[in-house]
Amino acid sequence: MKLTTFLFFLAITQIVASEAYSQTTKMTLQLSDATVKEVLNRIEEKSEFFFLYNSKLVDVNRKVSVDAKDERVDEILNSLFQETGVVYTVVDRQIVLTNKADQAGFISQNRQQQGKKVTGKVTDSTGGSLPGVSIVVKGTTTGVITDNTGNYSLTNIPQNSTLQFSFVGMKMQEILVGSKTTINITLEEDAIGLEEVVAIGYGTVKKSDMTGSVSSVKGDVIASSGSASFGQALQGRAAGVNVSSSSGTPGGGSTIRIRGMGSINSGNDPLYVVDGMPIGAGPNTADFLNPADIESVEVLKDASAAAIYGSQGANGVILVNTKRGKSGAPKLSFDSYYGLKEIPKTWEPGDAAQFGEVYLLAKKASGTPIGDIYDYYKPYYASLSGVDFTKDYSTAQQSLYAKLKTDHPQSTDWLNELYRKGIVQNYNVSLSGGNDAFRYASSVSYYKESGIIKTTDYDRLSFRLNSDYTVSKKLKIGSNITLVNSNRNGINPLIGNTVSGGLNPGSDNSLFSQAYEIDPVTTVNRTAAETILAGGDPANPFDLYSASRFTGTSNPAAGLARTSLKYSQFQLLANAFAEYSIINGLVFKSSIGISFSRGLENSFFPSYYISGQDRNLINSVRRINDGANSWNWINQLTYSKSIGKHTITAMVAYDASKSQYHSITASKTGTPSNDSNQQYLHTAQGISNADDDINESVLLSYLGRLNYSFANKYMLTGTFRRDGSSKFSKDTRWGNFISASAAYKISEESYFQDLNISQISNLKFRAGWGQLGNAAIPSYRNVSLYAATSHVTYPFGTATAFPGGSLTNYVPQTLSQGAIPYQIGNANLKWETQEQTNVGLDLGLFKNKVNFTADYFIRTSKDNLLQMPVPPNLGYASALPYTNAGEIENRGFEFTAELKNNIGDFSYSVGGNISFTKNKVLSLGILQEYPHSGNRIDGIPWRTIVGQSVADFYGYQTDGIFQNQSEIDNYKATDGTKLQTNARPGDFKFANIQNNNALNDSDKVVLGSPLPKFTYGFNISLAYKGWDLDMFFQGQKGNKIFMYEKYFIYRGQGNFNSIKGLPEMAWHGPGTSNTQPRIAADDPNNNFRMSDYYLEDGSYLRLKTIQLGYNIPKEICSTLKIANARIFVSGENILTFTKFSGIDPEIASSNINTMGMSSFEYPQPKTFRFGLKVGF
Amino acid sequence: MNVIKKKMKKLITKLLICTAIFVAIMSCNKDFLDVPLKGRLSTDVFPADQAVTGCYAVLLSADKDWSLWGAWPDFLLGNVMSDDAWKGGNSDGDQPDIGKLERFEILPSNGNVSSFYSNFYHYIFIFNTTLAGLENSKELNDSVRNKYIGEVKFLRGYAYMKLMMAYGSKKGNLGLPVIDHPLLQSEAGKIPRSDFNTTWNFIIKDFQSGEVNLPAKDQYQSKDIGRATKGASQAMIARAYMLMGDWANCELYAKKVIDSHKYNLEPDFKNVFSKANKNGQESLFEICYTIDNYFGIGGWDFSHGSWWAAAQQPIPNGWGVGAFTNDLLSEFKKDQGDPRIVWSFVFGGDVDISSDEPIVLTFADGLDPDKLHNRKIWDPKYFQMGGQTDHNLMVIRYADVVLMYAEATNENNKSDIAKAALNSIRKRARESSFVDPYRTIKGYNFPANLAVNERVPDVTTSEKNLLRDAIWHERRVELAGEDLRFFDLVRQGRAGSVLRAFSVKYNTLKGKGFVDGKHESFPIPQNEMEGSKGIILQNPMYN
Repeated sequence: MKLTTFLFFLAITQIVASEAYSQTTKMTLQLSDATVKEVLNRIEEKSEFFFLYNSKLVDVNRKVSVDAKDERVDEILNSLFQETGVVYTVVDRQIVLTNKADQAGFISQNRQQQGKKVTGKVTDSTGGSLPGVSIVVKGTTTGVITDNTGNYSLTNIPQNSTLQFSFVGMKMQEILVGSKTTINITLEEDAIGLEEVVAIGYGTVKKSDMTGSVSSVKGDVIASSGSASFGQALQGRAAGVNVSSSSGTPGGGSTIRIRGMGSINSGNDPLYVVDGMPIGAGPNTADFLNPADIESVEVLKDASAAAIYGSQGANGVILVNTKRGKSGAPKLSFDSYYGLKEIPKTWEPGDAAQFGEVYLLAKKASGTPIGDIYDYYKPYYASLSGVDFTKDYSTAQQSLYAKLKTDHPQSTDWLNELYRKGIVQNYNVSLSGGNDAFRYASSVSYYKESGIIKTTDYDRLSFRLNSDYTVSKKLKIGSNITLVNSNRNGINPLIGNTVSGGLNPGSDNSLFSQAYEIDPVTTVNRTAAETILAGGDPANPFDLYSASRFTGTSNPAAGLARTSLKYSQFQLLANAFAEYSIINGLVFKSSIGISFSRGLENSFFPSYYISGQDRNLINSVRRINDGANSWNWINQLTYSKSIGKHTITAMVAYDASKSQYHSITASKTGTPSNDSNQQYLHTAQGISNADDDINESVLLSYLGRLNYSFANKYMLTGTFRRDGSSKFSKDTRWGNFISASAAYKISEESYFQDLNISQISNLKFRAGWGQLGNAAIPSYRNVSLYAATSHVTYPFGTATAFPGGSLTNYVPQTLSQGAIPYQIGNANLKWETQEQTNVGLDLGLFKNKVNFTADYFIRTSKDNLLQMPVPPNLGYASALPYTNAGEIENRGFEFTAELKNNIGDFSYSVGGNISFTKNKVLSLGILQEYPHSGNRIDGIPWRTIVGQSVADFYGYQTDGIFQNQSEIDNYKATDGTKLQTNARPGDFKFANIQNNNALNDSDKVVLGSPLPKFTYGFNISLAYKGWDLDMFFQGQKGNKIFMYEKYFIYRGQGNFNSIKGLPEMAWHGPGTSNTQPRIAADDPNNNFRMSDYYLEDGSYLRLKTIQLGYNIPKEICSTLKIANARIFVSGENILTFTKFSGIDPEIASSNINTMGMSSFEYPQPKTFRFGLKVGF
Repeated sequence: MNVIKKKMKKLITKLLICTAIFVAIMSCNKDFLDVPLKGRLSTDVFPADQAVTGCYAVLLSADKDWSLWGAWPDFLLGNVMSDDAWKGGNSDGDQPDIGKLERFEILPSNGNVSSFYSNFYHYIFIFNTTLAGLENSKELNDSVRNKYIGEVKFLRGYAYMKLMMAYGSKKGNLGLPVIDHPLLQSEAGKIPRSDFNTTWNFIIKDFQSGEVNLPAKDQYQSKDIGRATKGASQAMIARAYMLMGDWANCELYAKKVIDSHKYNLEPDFKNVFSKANKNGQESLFEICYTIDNYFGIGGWDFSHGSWWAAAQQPIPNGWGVGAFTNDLLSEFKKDQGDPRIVWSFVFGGDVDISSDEPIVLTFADGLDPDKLHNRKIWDPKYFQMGGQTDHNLMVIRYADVVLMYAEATNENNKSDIAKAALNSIRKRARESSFVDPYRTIKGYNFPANLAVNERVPDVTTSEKNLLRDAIWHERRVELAGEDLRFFDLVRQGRAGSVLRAFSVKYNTLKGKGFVDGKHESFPIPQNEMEGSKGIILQNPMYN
């Protein structure tokens, strides 16, 4: 809540309340040699009065002495302003001070009407009415205050006079009355950025008093980004917050990393707190929120800020505050957009002729006998006889391609079978308003997106209601309720894939990879006759898809057609709070929240028969019902007090939460047909199966915080938190987390002001240190477990074999139940602890037109919760236990700068942020190196090594390609041993790093890091009259991407299709290539082992959004009977500057074992939107 | 004053109430943090019987558990890497890693090389955990405990033997890291490979525990058929000694099995692999499969069916992996009229007559150069459930024991005993039937007019080398497709020459790349090498 809003509430109260307070309240005040300001402050402290004045009109620095005993406020004020010309007006608790006041003129009521009368309404920039605005006739003391609907009426005004409209936090405006009798004006907010209030968890603080490192992102930025989820909208908006979209999947989420990777494999996701309620960490946790509902997002980055969240805050905390109602007439607004999504430029697979060309070249190059050649290609094989594979053989290649192209012109474009144009649309209606006793903000929103891959759809209907009641002066209550219903087709985000395999992007065997790998000779469909011959049934449409002729790859079009997965989810997030002011300054707040979700996956696996390997003879239907419940109860006491120049705020709280996840799976085989009306458990007649899974965890916390500031110059913050988690054993479950931070606002020092550096309007230094915890591991990891599932059974006993025919009358053999260890527990598990030190400065220049923030941090995590890799001979397989081992450090700089200015009607703002993070592993416990799990290519492409950064790419270094045999023969070790005897011209030369007598594992080196050196974002906004243009760029630099796809589609072995143009790209004779090895069916040189061949520079700069808007002029609006209207066109992901040649350089990996890996990703679509926003 | 007092009182009351609420909330949650273990089985309670059953069940997991999916080819590598079977399958891209094994383009990163290793060590971890549980359990009486220990040690011996056959290197005198207890993480990377014989002796010791503690096959009740037995243990010991080349002990243990008189050759060869005769009189140990209730659940066929056998069914119903070679067929044809041809081969063009609708087995698609498949585990379409079969995996059978006995006695210069043993196998062969009720054989013409005594005649030579050749021939024919051929060739020291000759003869890359002194062993997988840096030595010539 901003200060303006706060004042605004207070202003209202004067209108409606009686004047009794000023008559009954008496106070005692003794001050000598104090300024008027101090006296007024003291009155505010001692009473509920507050003062409104313009310090230019009222001299508040005048020294006075006051000695009042049990006097009414008017008595005190009378003596205070005796003979100064200052007069005051008391309206309930608000006291307005003006100079040379004509009391009679100021309050317009009950005055005789003379001269001209002017009426009108004062509104703020959003169109909301502004009560309590003072309107003074310039040069006189005649004035009035707007009523609670923002209306005013002034009488007795001379012609040609000028009205001054002023309100705290707003720019004063002057209007020449002239002949007008109605003057409606809109007041604009003053540049009071420094007075903003920011959420810091369990409370708020003035931005200027912040001691920690917190980034804020405003709600309008999020709403206008056009992203389905707020996580995506944060991308590039805040320094130190690295957001990458998981994929272009509709409704797909994003991965957020704050200040680098702190943990190897126990979670790096920040904690999300919505309206004060922690809702957990993990990817996509808060993505169900409607971006239009968000008022602001605060990211607590350093330990001193996040430590208040203790064990949950290790990876930073993202506080989301949703919009709240303001007093005033109901405000209704509608906004909507409609957009088209297109496939970005991406890789193209080769055509059928190229597939044949590569197949034949590969076989020939490796000397495959004709006996091992497919009959289909045998006639062409002879044409390659006599080709010398050590000379340039382009001619042979080209004529082979031409011949194949002529003989077999048919070629299937498999990608085209998957892609389509996507559509995105959004409708949002919001209503807010209220009065001083009750305020509300509500919205209904519908978002729908159809993805660029067929069958992937997402829609979301959300409803939100926030309400606040002021029951009495002491008691405030409120509640926030969000209801979301979403539907997904094709992908269940919880499971991440479909069982039919395939829409799971980033997988080794997804439909995308299939579309690239399957041979284009195969047609999408086959004839009925061919279907029967293969053993299928032409009556079943799923049987009419062809089986791949040459690659054994599943038919991706068939996979897409079979995909029948709908996931719908209902989510409720609600909390209610009561705030009771016990005595002045001491507030007790209790808040109870529940988060609740129910998901239902309906999936169906049709029966089909494409081939013996690709078939499902018995169809089945499955339902997965998942439910997550959590509650959280926070009780807190906050005490604030100002004594002279000392301001103190102390808070203690108790926070208990419990979360539970339960899923139930039911499946049944044998529905009567694949008909969509029969895809129900009830119609299935076969075997049924049911299972469930439950997870519970509990967190209990005691916490406290102390904020102290002196003279608005020195600020100190200290926090303490003690957490207990059920995830650990009794002895290790409690952790204590403390932090301390300080800030020094040097610009408030008198000597600084004396320096008269007029350009510097604000300069503040900050420093902090703190500890945080991390317990982002699954529940029950401290105990060893047995599995005794239906799979762990064995058919002992005399057996009867399956008697043939159908399963219907078959009585299966009795199975003996077994149990196997499936989880190895570690009773000694404890918190992963993080320590973070932060220093920073805030600088404001030219009356804060330019703002600059810089931070330096050192973040060290100890006792990393790690599933340590073990050699396979330990036999743990997937049962790897967690241990506390290792230490990781992240150091970095963050800079944010912003310039806002206007020249006449033209206003502009330029802002940007950049963050540099250096990650370093200090220790890995007993290990020196950690080869990650995930055996890909030749071994494991990732390795974490002490002294390096987390998850480095690791392998051989290539040193060009051998162009001829003599280069191979001359590649010798120091003792004369030939190093690559198996190589042939066209194969990679691998560097002998150790310069020893063999090329082996010892020559593997760190090849690069998936972590960027820096990430940045910047925006440029221009506005002229009703027009505005906003461009937002986002990018990163210095990371490497591991193109796993190359292992398949750049290999040229003939058993998969390859990328278009591979034969020309690949080495095909001396001097033809030094980067892409020859085409060959075998690989005696092991060219495709893990090496820098797979790595590409992942740096990119992306024009994330560009938006051109036009605000329809007021005159037109008023004729249309609307308050305001705006139309816009925008584009997302329009331009990307990158050297990366793969699908999309923006790669999110929430899993450390797939870091920076590009593996047939769902690309970020280009989106073009048209939108409309109307306020009523 | 009164007003102030009243105010103070009010204030104190308020503060007290708030404090009380606060304290009440904070203290009412003593057990709040003890979350019960819902829906999970703690290992604090050791279910001995189920744990032992679990040890058998993991052997199946290669077939029905996605996470261990990569292990199923273990069941056919002995065929495919030899001259008996092609990789086969749908295309080059189908199981390409097996193709590389067959062509001996083997790298430590080969997917099958690493999954074979990881999976068997995972089973060993489970066996070791169970053994530790059995040894510590206070509820078990010693006779039950010892029987259970015997069973689990038998299985552990089996797992180590599989590993040893693949990864042990006689040339480098390298066995395996011998792990006999559930390792703690702190023990990781500290256990080197034992030498060749030490590892084999460890395996033999495990089987000896089975020999001592396990009942004979006929002492089990029918509900316990399928469990490890004394005889199976002895037979496995014989096999271990054969692989070590210790013929004296091989003879000793083979003789123990023979002299126990618990086993016999099936009179008709067709019954050896008949599903109606699972765990029959010739069977010493089988891994048991069945078609069960879980078939088709979850969009994939999770069940106790034999996927390895389904994969070897011919295309289009099966995957066509492990298709037999003509070379193997010509080995059979060295004897005229061997009925085992009928029970070992399915020929392209045969007609499946198991159901009312006869199906011509065309083997039209796929990499199936010789159009031959394994009849031993072939299921007519009518008896398949969605391409799935319930054949048991024969680990060791009596005919194998007899042939080991023949080979050992011949090596030990007892040619008469050897000859008699060998001829007992040939006798059974010639007396076997040759009409297959489930198919009309079109691809082969059995010389039915040949008199019984003209088929598969007795071997008459007593010359040691000739007799050895005859025994080797008999092993190849009798045990065709039983995953032993490659390992036989290796132990016979002729894998390279045989396989390279095959490559030349059939103009194929299969076998071409075999390098003597290298390819007799798999390489230790890449992840094992990396995970145990320096401690684990690589097999010769793989560096």
